[in-house]
Order: sequence, then C-alpha cells, then structure tokens
Amino acid sequence: MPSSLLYLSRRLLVMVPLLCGIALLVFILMHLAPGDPIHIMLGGAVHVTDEVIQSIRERYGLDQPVLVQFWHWVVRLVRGDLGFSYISNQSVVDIIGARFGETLRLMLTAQVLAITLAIPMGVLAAVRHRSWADTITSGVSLFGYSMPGFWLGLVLIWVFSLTLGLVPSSGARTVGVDFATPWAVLVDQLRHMILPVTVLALNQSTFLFRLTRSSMLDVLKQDYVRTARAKGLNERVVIYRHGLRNAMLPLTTVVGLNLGYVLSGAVLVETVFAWPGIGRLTVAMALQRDYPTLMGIYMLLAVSMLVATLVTDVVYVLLDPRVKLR
Amino acid sequence: MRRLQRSRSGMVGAAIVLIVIVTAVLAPLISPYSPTRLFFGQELRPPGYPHWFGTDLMGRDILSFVIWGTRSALVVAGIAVGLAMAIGTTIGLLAGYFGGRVDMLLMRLTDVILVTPILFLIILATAIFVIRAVWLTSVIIGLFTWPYVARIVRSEVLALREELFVEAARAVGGQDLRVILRHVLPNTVPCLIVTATIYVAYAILTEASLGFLGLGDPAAVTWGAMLNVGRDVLRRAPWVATIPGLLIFLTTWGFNLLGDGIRDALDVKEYHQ
Repeated sequence: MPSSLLYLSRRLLVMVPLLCGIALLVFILMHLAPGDPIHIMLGGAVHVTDEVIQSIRERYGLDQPVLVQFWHWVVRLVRGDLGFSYISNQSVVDIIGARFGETLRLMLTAQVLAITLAIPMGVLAAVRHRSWADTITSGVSLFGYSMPGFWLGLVLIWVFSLTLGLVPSSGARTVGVDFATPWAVLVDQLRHMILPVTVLALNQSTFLFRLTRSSMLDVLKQDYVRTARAKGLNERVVIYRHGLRNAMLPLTTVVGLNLGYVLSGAVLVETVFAWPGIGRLTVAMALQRDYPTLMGIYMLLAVSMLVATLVTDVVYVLLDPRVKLR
Repeated sequence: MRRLQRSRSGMVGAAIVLIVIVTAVLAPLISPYSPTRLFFGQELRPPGYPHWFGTDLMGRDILSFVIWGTRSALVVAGIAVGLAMAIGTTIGLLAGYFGGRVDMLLMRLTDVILVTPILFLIILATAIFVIRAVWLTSVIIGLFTWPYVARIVRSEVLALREELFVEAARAVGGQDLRVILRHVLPNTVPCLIVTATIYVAYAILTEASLGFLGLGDPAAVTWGAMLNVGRDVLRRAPWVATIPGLLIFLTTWGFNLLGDGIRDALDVKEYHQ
C-alpha cells in the first residue's frame, strides 16, 4: 500500500477512539442531567397516567440499564441515526440537516472574506515591521479581536437596519414574498447575508491577521530569506515566494483547527441575526432542554472538526515537502 | 515591569484593568443607586440626568447596574481562569515532563474536549444541568477551557525538559516532584501569566455571551443579563444593549492589551505549535 494511503487509514483509525470518547462524554453528560426526560417530552401536560409514562419510557428504551442504553445509542449512531427530538418528535438528522447548510453558507463566505482581507494586511504589517502601518493595523486588529461579535452585530443592526434601513436585520431570506426571477432571490439572500458575514469575517480576520503577521515576522528572520535577498532577488519575489509560502504553513494549521472557534462565533451571530442555522438551533434546544437534538448537533460538530483536522494535516503535507507522512 | 512600562498599549491595557478592578471594589460607594432598584414610571429612559446611562425595561438604572456588573465579571474571571489554570498547568506539567504513555493518555483526554467547539460544550452543560448561578457558570467555563492551558504548558515544558539545568537537577538525584516544582514550574511562570491574562478576557466574554443568549441567571447583576434585556428593545432603546456591550468590549480589550504587553515584556512566544 502506498505510504499516503497507509497514513490516511491510520489517521482514520485514531479517530475511532476519539469519537468513542466524545460519544461517552456526551452520553454521561446527558445521564447526569437532573430530572426525568419524560417530563420534558410531556411538556406541561398534567393529567398523564403512569401507564402512558411507562409506555413512553419503553418506547424510547429509557427503562433499560444505562449501559444497554449507551450501547443502543452507539449502534444507532454508527448507522447515522441520531434519534428523535423530545420536543417536536422529528428525526434529529432531519432537523440538523435542514440547518447545517445555512451555517456552512455563512461560515464559508465569512472565512473566504477574512482570509483575503487578513493575509495581505498581515504581510504588509510584517514587512513594514514597527512602521506606522504596522502599528495602526496591529492596534486595530487587537481592538477588533476583543470586540464581542454579538455586540458588533447589535450595533450594525441598530445603525444599518433599524436607523438607515439599508439591509434586513434578520433571517436568511424574505419570507412570504414571491420573487419573479432567480436573480431576485439571489439578491435577497445576499442582502440578508451582508451583516452576519461582516461580523463573522471581521472577527476572524483580526485573528488571522495577528497570526500572519507573527508567522511572517518569524520567517523573514530566517537564513533562506537573507540568502534570497543576497542573491539579488526582487523584494517582491523574496516576500511572496520565499516568505509568505513558508509563513502559510502554520496558518494552514490554524485555519483548519479554528473551525471550532468559528462555529462558536456562529452561535452568537446566528442568534443576533435570527439566522436559521445550527447555532441558533443549539440555543433554542438548550433553552428547551431537548437532549437528543443537542447530542446530535454536538456529535456532528465533533465529526466535522475531526475531519477538518485530518484535511488540514493532509494539506500541510502537500504544502511542505519536508513533512513526511508517518 | 520596566519593560512593560515602555509598551504604550500595554500601559493602556493596565490602566483599563486597574479601572475595572477599582470600580468593582468601590461599587457600593460610586454606584448612584442600588442595581436592582426599580424606578417605576421611568422605564426605558434615554441617557441623561439623573440616569446617566439611561434605564432598562424594568426601570433599573443602567449605570448602577454596569458598575455592580464589574464585580460579577471579576468573580467569573477569578473562578473560571483559576480553575482552568490549576487543572491545565497540572496536566500540562505531568504530560510534558513524563512524556511517553502519561503524555499520550493526558493529551487524548484534552483532545476529546479540544476537538469540539467549546461554546457548544458549555451551552450543552449549562442547559443539561440547568445552571444559572454566575459562580456555577464560571466553574463550567473553567472545566472546559483547561485543555488549552494544558497544551500551552505542555509545549513549554517539553522545551524546558531538554534544558541543562533540568537535566542537572535530575542527574544529582532530584526527585521528579521536586524537579517539577522547583525547576520546571517556576520557568513556566511568564508563559502562565500571559495565558491567564488573555483567558480573563475570554472568560468574561464567554459568560457575557451566555447571559446574552438567555442561558445566564436573569436575576443576576451581570453585563450579559443586561445585554439580554436590551436585545429585545434594540429599536426603542438601543442604549440598554449597547452600553453594557461596550463595557464588555473595553474590558476584554484591556485584558488583551495587557496580556500582549506582558508577552512582549517577558518575551514569551506568541503561538505554540
């Protein structure tokens, strides 16, 4: 077997115990929960006989020993079945599936925007180290980095939506309006994306900027950069081909591993802008204590992040020939 | 200290942090009213005399509320960061110093938490255990953020372990515990200070986020709780949400600036691989 395939299969194997650990953690958390899940399912219903409660308990397998319940849960999990919501009785996979795309759409747009914004500025700040350009961009970035996304979101809604009326303040699309052309639908959706994407992208770019700058500063001190300069290469070639290319390596790792941070930001931004994604769903389900949906979301995010880590590592190897697959 | 004084931004950060601490300590003296006093008939007043930051939906004086809110913010920071630093440093020291199986086991443990978005995990835990009290929320934040500290400390210890003085301490027959406490731990202190400062900002922001999402204690005097109230009246009374938000922002900025200043002064590397 070629070494790359061997590496990939080994990496996938390592993911198995990690996923088991995560599944166990989530399961334990759920079972430590105070109160009876039956009461959550029944909501405020008062006149419920013991027989009904017993039948619900049997139906959901809640009458079985904890270890048996865990086993059943894991078996279903492997089959891609995340169970049913306590509240709406819908399949958790369906509930999550409908919203995951919306979150991805928001996140990916913001991420692309953040990268195109942050990397050139980070390079500039590093190349002109300690100049006024560096001082200003670095200062602004820490300022932006500390700014709570939800607060910026509220301020933007207040200014651009409520006061100026330029863009919609909530949702992913205008509901109840039939647009004549697909083009109009697209424009409507883009208008809804402007504010949430701005908040997410700004938040991300400040972080990426700091990283690009410090990584670039490290690289520019290296011997090979001095050699490149000594060879009489054009400064642009030195910076981009010899500098940035190497500085991109730690950046790749961080962009990949940063998914969790972006997702955490999405929870708040989606809540502020009433965006119908995973983040808003999480908060709604947390307030209603719908455990199966919460567990489903959590498992989905854990798997996405593990995959992201794997992809990051593979990309890293492709970018850096010095790193061997082991 | 002298090097920190040379950093202008570090000093700005230190000044902000100092103001926050002094405000928290002197809250009973400088707060014009009780934070929970309801001014009937004066609900949603815009900023002006006698309510300089306005009033909220229930007629509470926002200035008094945010002044007392600094206390909660510092309590959160103290508990969450204290817990995360204590657990994270211990795990990081053990993993980095002993290496091998101990390292592998402990790092897999941190991975289980690290591979998931922390805010989701915190939301999950607060929802499941119906945690509303500020101090309990802080404990949860601490319990789920220590893996980051553990990673940072571990990478620091890995480098220290190769240093001559550690090797010498072991060569003369120093017991592991003694070597760790006397030689390794003191050398991680600069890194720990920077990490703790930055984590204070993170903890305050996280608790405020939970409050904002409606997952905090609605009766508590915290910035997040006021943000949550203000969210619903953003059109009618934008000051209710924007003022506490601004203070959260300035406080986290202050701690981040201070952390950066200390980092430069102590020459701690920014990103650990």
